[in-house]
Amino acid sequence: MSERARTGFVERGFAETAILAGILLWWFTAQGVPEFVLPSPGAVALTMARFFTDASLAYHFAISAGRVIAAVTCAMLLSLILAALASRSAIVTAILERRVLVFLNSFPSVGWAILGVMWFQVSTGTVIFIQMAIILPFCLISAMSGFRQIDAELAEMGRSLSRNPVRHFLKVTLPLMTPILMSGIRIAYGICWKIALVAELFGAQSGLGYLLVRAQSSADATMVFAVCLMIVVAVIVVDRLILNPLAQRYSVNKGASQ
Amino acid sequence: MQQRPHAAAVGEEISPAAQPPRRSRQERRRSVTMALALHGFTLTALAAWWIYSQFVPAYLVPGPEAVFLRMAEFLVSPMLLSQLSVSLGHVVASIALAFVIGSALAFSAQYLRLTRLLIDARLTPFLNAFSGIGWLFLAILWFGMDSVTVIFAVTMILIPFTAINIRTGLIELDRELVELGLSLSRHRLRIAMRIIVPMLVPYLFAALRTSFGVAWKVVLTAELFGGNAGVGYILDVARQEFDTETVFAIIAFILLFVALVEAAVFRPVQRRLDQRFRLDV
Repeated sequence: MSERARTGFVERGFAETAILAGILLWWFTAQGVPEFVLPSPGAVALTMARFFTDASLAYHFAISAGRVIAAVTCAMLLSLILAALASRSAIVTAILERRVLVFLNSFPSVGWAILGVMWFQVSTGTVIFIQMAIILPFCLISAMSGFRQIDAELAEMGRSLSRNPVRHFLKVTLPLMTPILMSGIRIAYGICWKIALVAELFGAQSGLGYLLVRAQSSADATMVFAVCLMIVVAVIVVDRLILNPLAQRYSVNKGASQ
Repeated sequence: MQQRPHAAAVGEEISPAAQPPRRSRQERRRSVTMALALHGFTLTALAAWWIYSQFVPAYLVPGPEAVFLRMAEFLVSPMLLSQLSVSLGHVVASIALAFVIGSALAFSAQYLRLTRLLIDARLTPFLNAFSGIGWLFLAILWFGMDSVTVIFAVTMILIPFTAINIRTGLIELDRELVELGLSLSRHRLRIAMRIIVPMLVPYLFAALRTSFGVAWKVVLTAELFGGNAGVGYILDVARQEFDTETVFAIIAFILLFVALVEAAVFRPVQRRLDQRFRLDV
């Protein structure tokens, strides 16, 4: 076994042992304290499993996931349109960067949640609106830097090959921007699950946020833990299995390294 | 700053040698147009808000003048200032804690080989994927409704940001410079203080800037659900009383405050850092 492989092996062993030790410590602590303070890992795992067997829990999870996907898609499309306008004009760029982004960036997320519920009442559309408003600055930044980093000469060459603007956008602009857009989508997707779930806390009747509020008011710590870990699963699984491979596939360096 | 070539207006430019080069007329005109467009946009947005507020009930969208009046009332009464300082305290405490914990994680991953995989591939991704709302609800269960809950939740949200930023800095450290330092002195602390810390400054600053922005975004949520003081708490009371003017006024204060700190502190410091740590020299 080479030196390097051995260090890797030791590191790996240490990492997995540390995680096991952490779970054991959790289990051991949970023995001494009441369930509503710290539920045992076993109980939490069982509740998490119920998300796959119990239809109503699966429904709440699916509806949250659907809202997140809808919000990320809409926010990214809106950002692309705005960034496309900005790429044509320095004035629009300045307005977006020095007015709209400054505004959106410092707007507290809970502010959108309160205003959204006041304006449009509680509905799935409202939740998606709130989530969109929260992730819009992240999408807008990545869409604008995507347009900015398009190689002018490549774009020129594309125009010399075809005059069709739709074709130009699909075949030249979009592929050139994809790496940056993908990183924007990854960030927006993460933030949407982690922070924008606040949209579901103000009176929504479905979704993981609703489950959290319900669990908290009935001091059901096991459910709070399970929902938190389900969110971790949703973020990590989609990021590892879908978003990251896509980002790798469109990465700029990939062509060079082959 | 780099001197721009005056391509179009070279003939018109007669600037005395003692004065800094003046901008060409075309460029000046462009910057005036830009300023007009920016301020025009702000004014149009305010006007649109005012016109819209004439058509909808005040409890949905109060007009700008009502919101300004409410903001003025807040400024005169000590109540808002004290609550704002409570929130600021929450933010500062969380950022400080997150910095200590985040840099401990980053340094441990860098210099304790054994912990690297655990931190880089397990702990940081886990913390990064953990929901901020989740931390908040766990904290409410554990600590009840008070400042500890708020600070705990915000700290846990910030830790991945600081850890990732500082870790990136450590990975990107110029190995040759550290090597050079090693050849000049074997004193480890000296090398750390003279070479590693200065090279990390841009990354530490980026971590601080991100943390500040994120912290203000989430601290209100934390105070609203889990706190008993702070701006988020006032926001909750206003929300329940359908006092939209106060909600608007508080959001406006937060916007002003964050934009002000960004313009007065972060941007100038960033500019100085950019000058000192230019990548292209």
